[in-house]
Amino acid sequence: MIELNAITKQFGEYPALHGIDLSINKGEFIALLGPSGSGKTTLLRIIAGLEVQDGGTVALEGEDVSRRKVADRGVGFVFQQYALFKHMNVAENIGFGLSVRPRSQRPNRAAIRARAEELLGLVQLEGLGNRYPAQLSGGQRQRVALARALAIEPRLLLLDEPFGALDAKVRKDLRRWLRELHGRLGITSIFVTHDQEEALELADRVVVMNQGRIEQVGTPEEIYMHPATPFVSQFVGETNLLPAANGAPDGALAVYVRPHEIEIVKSGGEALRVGNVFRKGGVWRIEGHLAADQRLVEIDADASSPPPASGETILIRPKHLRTFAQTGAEQ
Amino acid sequence: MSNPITASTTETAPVRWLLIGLSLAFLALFLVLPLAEVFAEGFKDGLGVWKTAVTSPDALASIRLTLLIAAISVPANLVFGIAASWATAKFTFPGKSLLITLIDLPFSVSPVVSGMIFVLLFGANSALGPLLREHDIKIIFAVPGIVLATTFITFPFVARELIPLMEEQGKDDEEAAISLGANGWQTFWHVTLPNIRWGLLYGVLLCNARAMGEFGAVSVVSGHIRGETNTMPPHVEILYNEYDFVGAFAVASLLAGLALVTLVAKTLLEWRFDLHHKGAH
Repeated sequence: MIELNAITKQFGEYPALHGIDLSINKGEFIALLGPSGSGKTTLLRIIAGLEVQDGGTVALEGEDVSRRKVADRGVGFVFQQYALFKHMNVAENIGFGLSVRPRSQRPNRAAIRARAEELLGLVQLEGLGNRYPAQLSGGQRQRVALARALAIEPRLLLLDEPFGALDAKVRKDLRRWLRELHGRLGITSIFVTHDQEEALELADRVVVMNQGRIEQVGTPEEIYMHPATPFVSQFVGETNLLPAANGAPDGALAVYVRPHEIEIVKSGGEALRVGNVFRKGGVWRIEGHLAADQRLVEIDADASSPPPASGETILIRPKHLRTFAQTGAEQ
Repeated sequence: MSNPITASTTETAPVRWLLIGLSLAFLALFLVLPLAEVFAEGFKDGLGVWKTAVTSPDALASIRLTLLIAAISVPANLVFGIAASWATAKFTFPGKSLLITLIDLPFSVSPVVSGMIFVLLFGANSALGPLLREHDIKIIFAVPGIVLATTFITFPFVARELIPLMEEQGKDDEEAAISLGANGWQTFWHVTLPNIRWGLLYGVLLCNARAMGEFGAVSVVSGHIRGETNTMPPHVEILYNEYDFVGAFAVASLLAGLALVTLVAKTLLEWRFDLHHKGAH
């Protein structure tokens, strides 16, 4: 469906993307995940044609669209700040893409309105066609923006931090709803996020980016359970960095362990002085410092037994060792 | 906000009244009084005399010329202002900051100097002078010169109003429009223009007020040919210098009236603009 080949982009002196290769299958829901400045939004905008790459090619369904204008790529784009047209009502916003078509391809007024109503039904905003964007909540505006992008029947849907401007509760609802919608429409979609939870929950595959490079591409399960690089391990999910101890392979610099992968043992572990202890959902979150080098370690312990007290010293041992050699690959 | 005055910013009553009183007195002395005086002098000998003064052939010629000048220079600056702000707010290109600085030039140069520039460029003794004479083109001491000078002076008004507005609005809306298939013209007409309409009207209003009221630059290039190259402001000056005070103030009262209309329209626009702006978020 989409083939990106050696995409590079530079903003002045600052290299934004260093040779991105990526291929995406038809119907997939892809997350571009990374911290700010990782190049994820730039990559999305290059796919859309809102930005032009310095090198490399973008191919959609086998045809090279690298030099083609946005309008001719058949992509729907949803902006973080909605970018709804304030002076048009909701139905006019949704119908905009149809109403600017050349006369020969333009549906008549009634047909555009009917299509808008149909899409309003799809995004569950029936009856709000005559409202103005200012009269809608953030979540509703984002749905209108989505309906507007879908109105032109794009072959590809691109979403730039689609939930970034929403509060936590609305975000969660909208996320679930978007997942369902994707399941129903099956339209190939790529969304950009810096929120790993969002990426893992929504995407079929996650593309983790850092400093203009792809660190790893994989299913949420692969990304979380088998991070390919130290960066992914630390960026996705919480990770403790323990000193490379006995048992770690040669050349390993450090051991990466998730909080729930550490067990408290009676003997044969590293000494940890307990600091803060608090409930985090269904587990105890224990924060403490290693006696050996004062390193901060976070542990999730079973909440069915009472937690250790603050100030106490306990022994801990990783249940699962994840190490990266200097080359950065998991071993 | 029912009570915008919070304890930490409240002054004692006497201080408050002193400050308010001072501002009002200053306003009355320097703004209201002179303005009232213009009307008082203009209408001193009754409506009939005022009417005779503003309908004298020379006065009518100056009014017509003023309207003509505004009708040419305001639309010119409207187009330029939109183009310049569109270019600077939506694109990056080399020389952008230079362009923004240059837009302000007419504000920082004395109008007399602005007038001199055109005399130096197109006057009889300029390098272009002989060429213009040869083709019988009159710029200085003629309408084209006044149009040029006025356009130069009122150059920044629309652009200055629009650049910050467009920069604040960003280009998401335009990008959304082109991603939906709109071409450049459709994007401008259906998306950008509605977004800037109130700011644009405001800029045009100020531009117009200045175009009609400009004295310095016009005075230099017009040559003060009565009935031909005199716009209203130089006409007022001539009448005044000839001790025709009633005539001078009668025409001046028209200009002052224009100022008042502009102020009212500006206030209405600002109110509408604020409403529109706040409604956006």
